[in-house]
Amino acid sequence: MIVEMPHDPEINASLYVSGEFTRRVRRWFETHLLECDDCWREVWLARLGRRVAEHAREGAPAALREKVRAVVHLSGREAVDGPWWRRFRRPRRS
Amino acid sequence: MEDEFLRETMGCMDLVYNISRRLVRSEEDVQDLVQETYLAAFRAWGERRRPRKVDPWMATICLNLGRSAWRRRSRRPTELPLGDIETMPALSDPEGEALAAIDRETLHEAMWRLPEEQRIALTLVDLAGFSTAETAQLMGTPRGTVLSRLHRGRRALALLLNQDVPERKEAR
Repeated sequence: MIVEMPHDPEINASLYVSGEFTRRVRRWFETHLLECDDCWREVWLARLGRRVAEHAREGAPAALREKVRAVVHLSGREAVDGPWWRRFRRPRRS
Repeated sequence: MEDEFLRETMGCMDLVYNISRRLVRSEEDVQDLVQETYLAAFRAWGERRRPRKVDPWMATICLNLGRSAWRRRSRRPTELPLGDIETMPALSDPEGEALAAIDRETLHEAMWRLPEEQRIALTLVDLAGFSTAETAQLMGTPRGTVLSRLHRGRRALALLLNQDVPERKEAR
């Protein structure tokens, strides 16, 4: 099989684990993996590292969602009515 | 207008929160950064600067805010050598059990010990789900640089689990 990519274990492992190889290159690389210790090792570490990183994913706290909604609504209202304190100013004497 | 904006952007809240968590350290700063991101986006929305894709747009705003003003205000993170990260004992079930044994805070700390550029590349690709090409655009760096940073970050996190790389024969 024709070698499609330069031999760079870091870059290739990164692309492979991110699922960014085309099908043809992926097939070549998977064959290559069975023969190359360096690429095998880097792919194994990258795959594990990705799992660890994914494990760190967190959902935003519900309170923060509410706070953001409130802040955006307030900001939208200020854009229309002016800042809140202006609405409480005394009318000027004529 | 607020309702339309919130309807389009609230789906990005987890994304913005996860990016913020890797840009500023304390939970208070994270919450402030998330709010600032939404306010900046809302202002742009009001000026009819609306994106084709909301996710990368919100991520860019968050990254820009986080990397400029907020980073100056927050205490700069201590980037310790990776050797200092406490590793977990190797377990019989190679990955799943070891992963389960790591509590969220340890993992969060481990990510903070990565150099900032690696941490951001990891966050954008593995947590936020952007492609490496999109990440390169967001970070303003060549794609090859992102791929290297991503790999080094992943490798450093993998070493946390202290697992031996299996022989190729075993996996065949």
